Amino acid sequence: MAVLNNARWAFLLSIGPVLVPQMIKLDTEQITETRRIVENALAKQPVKRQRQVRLLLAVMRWLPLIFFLRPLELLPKKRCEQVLHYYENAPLQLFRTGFWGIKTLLFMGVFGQAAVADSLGYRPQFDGNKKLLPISPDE
Amino acid sequence: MNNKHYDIVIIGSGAGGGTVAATLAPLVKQGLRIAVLEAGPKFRENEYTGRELEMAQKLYAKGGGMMTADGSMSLAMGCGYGGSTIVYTGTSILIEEQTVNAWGIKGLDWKDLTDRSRKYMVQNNVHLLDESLLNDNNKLFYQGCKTLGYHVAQFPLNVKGCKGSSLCNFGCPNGAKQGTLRVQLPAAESAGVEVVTNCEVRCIDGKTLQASVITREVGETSAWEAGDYIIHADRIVLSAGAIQSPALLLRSGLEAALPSLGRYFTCHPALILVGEHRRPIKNFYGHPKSFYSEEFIRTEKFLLETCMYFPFVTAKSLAGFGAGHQHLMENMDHLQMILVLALDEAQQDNRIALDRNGQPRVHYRFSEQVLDAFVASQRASAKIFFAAGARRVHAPSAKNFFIEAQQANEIDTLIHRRYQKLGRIAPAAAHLMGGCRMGNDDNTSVTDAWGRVHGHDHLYVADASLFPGSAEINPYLTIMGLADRVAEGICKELAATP
Repeated sequence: MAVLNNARWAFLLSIGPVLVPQMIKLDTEQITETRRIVENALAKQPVKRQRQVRLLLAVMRWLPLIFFLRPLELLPKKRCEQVLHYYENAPLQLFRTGFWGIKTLLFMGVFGQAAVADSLGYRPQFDGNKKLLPISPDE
Repeated sequence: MNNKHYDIVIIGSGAGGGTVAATLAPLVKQGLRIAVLEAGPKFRENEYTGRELEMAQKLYAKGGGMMTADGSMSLAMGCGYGGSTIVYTGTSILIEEQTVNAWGIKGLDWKDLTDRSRKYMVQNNVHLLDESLLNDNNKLFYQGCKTLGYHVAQFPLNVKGCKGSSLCNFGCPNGAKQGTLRVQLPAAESAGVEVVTNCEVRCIDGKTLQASVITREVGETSAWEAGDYIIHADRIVLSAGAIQSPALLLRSGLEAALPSLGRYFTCHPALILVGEHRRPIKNFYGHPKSFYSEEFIRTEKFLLETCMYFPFVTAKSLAGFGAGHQHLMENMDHLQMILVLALDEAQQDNRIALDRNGQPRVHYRFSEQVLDAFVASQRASAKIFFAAGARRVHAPSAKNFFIEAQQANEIDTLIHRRYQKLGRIAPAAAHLMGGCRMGNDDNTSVTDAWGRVHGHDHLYVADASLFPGSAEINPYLTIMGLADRVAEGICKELAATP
């Protein structure tokens, strides 16, 4: 069974582009791959940690209801961004750490894909020294 | 249940275990049976693909996803034939005399220790890379330090035929890095030492070990069939690293007699900092780590090193998100990177404990000294970036996401403790040390100066967990020097035994 059910994943996906704007450029296959990577990472965590992630996502989603009468994903983009910045700088270290964890899961899901890394211009090669040495006239 | 008998069993095959195995290997000719038990697999050459998540998953314990108990710091350690020597960058530095003297271990002499380390510098082909193989990322660091008048030196490296993949942290795909997997372990095996991979030791009871061999999807098949084993050994050497060695002793119930077991853990908490240049620079071609600066190691307790990391690691090391983050990520070929390492002091409460399942759990609190070092090191790095011509800099403890070049004279105001919030990013533990520290006293240490566990004549430790305090430099040569000493001690005892 998935650690994040469809509803939780849909929530994460809705705030994803605010945290990782590159997500807008991902095609359906890459979005599916993002979910697979995130799920895979969560599945390796202890049950307690999985529960904490679900709880944190719920808090992140519903906390804006108190102030803005809407869950996070229904806020205008600018407001959503402000709330997420508030989370990142929250007074409670535990909350900041949790938020970093959520953000990192998405980073892993997106930037961990080889095709995405390539699109960033990150293209190491096994014989990288060849790119450093001056090209000989014979080449 | 399978039974095995050995004269000496070494648990772990990294810088410590590999060294002990190679040093004791000549004893096989005299009829002694020696085995190395390694929890990870031996990877095939074609398994080093350089792909970030795939390699992290294969080469690091828990896929590189291990965190401290409060989630504030990540902990990475290699797991496989060669231990963390699979994934280090091969930087080979001798420990400073002042550091060893400060440890205050009777009988541990700096000259003796570094002479031993020098032996491994020769064995591992340690040398300076030719200038033509230094990339822009490294040269800019050098240039920045020189402009500011900071100390800067080139890292000696233990490579042979390095092709500059820059992927050292994911295992060298060209087999160039001379870790124990390339040098000491093959030598030990040639001399008759058995190396058993995929073998996890659960606990030690006197001279008996309980272990299991497991089947993995990656790497070569273990020399032993999958299953549970009882292994009898006259002498046991723990070289499972600064987290697993104390954890194993804790699982074995030694805590009551050894109050310092698991304690005084240090780890050089590290931050990855980036400066953006106007033009693309060569940063992911060539060896990633060529220079370091010791300018601040005595005054503000941090070390600066060049580095080049991969997209996901870079992304998670930046504070913030959104447009600024996107800009940096989409300009990775413009980024200069510096790794800052806080030289943390050994504190009793920073420790390895066990969770309910008997797995290690690391409790670590950042001291005020480390938090100050983080801020000071970000300021120094920002100055280096700008001195090297960067257009802007990102520092996690800065007021804004970017510090622009025209703000360079405001660095000390813009990067400040007041903007540093723990949890916004997770520093990474760069070098795991302590937990089975050596020392003169049973209450404040776990082993004597020769790595023998207090009160247990047959049990030794030979890895980074021996460090009484931080090494204040990349530690692998010191681990090898200490392991060499432990092995010599064992040889002497064997010679003295009728």
